[in-house]
Amino acid sequence: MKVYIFLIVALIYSNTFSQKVDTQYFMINEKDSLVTKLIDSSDGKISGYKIINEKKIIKKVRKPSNLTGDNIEYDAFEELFFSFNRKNDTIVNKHYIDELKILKTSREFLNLNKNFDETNTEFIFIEPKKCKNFILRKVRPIIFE
Amino acid sequence: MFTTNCDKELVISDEIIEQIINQTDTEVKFVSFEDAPKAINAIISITGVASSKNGFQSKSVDYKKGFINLNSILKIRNYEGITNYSFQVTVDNAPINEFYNVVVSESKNGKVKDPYITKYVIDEDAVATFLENNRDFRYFKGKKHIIPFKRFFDDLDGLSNKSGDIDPCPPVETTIDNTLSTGLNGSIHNLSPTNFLQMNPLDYNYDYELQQGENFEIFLNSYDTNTGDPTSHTDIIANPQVNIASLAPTLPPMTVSTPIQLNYTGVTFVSVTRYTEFSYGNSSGSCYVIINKIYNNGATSSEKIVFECPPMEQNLHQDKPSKSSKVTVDTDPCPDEEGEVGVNLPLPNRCLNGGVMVNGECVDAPDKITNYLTGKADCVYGKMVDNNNNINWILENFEDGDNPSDFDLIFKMSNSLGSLTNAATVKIGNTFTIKINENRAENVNTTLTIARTIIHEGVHARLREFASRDESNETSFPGVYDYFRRFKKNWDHEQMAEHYRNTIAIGLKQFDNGQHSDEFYNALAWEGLATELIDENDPTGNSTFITEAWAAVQNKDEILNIIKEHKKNGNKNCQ
Repeated sequence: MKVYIFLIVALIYSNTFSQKVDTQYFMINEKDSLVTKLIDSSDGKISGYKIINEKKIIKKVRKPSNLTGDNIEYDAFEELFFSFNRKNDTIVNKHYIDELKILKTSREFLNLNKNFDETNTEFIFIEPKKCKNFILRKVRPIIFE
Repeated sequence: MFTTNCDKELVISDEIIEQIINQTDTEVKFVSFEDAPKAINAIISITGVASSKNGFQSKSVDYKKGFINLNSILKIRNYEGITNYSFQVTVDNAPINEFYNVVVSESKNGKVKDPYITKYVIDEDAVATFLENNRDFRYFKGKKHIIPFKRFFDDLDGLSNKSGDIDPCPPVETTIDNTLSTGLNGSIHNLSPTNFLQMNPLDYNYDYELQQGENFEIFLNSYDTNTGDPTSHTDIIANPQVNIASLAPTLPPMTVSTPIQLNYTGVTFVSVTRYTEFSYGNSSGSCYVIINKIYNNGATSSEKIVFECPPMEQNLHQDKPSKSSKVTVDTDPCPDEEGEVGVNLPLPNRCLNGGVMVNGECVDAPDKITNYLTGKADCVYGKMVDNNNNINWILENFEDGDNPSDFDLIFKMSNSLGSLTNAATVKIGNTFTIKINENRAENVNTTLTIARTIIHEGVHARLREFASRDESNETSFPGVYDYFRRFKKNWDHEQMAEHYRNTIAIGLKQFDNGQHSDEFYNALAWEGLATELIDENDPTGNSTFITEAWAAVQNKDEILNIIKEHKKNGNKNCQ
């Protein structure tokens, strides 16, 4: 009987686990020149991060400065943007952080993600604050068109 | 027509069959100046700076007594990753029975070889037929010469070798006769094993209803191993690949597949000719398959695959016919064809500078929409156009002749956009190009998201087409000018967010057959307009802002959750 219960529990746990959204924690390093914090938008609530992927060259499109001009395409490092809403920030202490599996470099973060699929992964950026506190910041990849 | 000696089947190795099957990776298309930078640099490194006549649409290289058209470049990349670019060359006072291409070959690792010239000389008795049939290569009969680039132009200038020295790179000459077999009504008689086949696609059972392209005929030739006589077999195969179950007795079962992407670049027929060529008196020789493709747009390509010869019956060798007239094998270290080389024909209906032939004269082509999309994106776009989706209305100004403007629109896939960019619309000259991120379309986005992206980019193109017309001003398009005055570079996103979200939502509901609520489609329409835009006016490039319309929205989280939920659970298949 115990074996059956164990198997059922294991099965339920397995199914639950397989559908669980993965969470990635990425520690923002102020000294990392490839990661830039974006200034606040006009309403002061939404901000973001820009991460430069120096391993990937893409075609960027520059808009013309007038209505009738042509676009200019040029090669550039890929830039990835992530937005967040401050009202969703959470402050935690070091003990909490110590329990997390954290990506510590932008390279680790970029290597781990190809499509930055937010339907399967929740992205949490961490910013160190004073007194050994940290901000946990849920971010969303920004899709451009 | 067929011999019946089943005991004498030749064997093609698995590697060769695999090579042939891998033809599906072959890519054939016409590209423009911007898509072939290395090839063009290779030409310019010899000739000097490219000239630009009449704007971007007329890029060309003037060199000595000829000029090279850089606009309509035939690109063929074979399954090995070897790419050949064929450029049309126009020469002063060229004989009517000649035309020329510059060919630049680029290896898989991006190394570009020196350009060379392919010169096509039509036999006198075939000139009239060739011209009457709009320079269709299927009616070509004549010689092809491979000539070093500089020598070709030196000859035009009268600077060719006059010293009498032995030429270190003698021209390579190939005999081509595409006129021998007409294959009327599917019948083939006495095929010449030394020539490619010429077929009229209308004579066969093509199925134009196929979504991805046509069925096409395949022709297999070989020698009968007993008599040395040519044998042949024809069968209809469908895209992408169908086993050919029954073959001429001297050929083993073989699977052949060819790339069919779109109707206008599709293969109209493929002929596969298998030669066995032996040097009599010894066992050495070469065996090869030649795959000759002719595409709907007039482009042609051929590829030769050499493989290890199967054993032949020794007592039959002396009866073999002479093979001296077979296709020349170029062993010269000078210009050498590698991979598939296209023939960029000077077709009357493909005038230079994007024009078309009307009554014998080239005139500006009416504007049009060209679809180079593939896979899911092509499927979604096709469904939208066929089902009277409002994308037809959004893009109406790109396919109404030259009224009221003459801008073209191209849809194409892109592998060079950022990981988080669904699409981009680029205007260069009179052409707008909507580039769809292939990875995101195939692997990430739902079909409804792809439809929304197509509508979103279509609105971009529509608004910019308004703004780009010659007569465009603040009176004719006050909204466009007002948004540009207020928002500068992001004027079109601002205008779309404020005034075209409902258009997007209606298009999505049409595409989706109204399976969800209006609230659902209205939420999806925000995608691409709800996210923060990078302020390009900020010199630091680090600021963000949001569209005014989105800033005014109260239930942002609700909308974002609908979008996220759809991304997670929406349908990702298009059939």
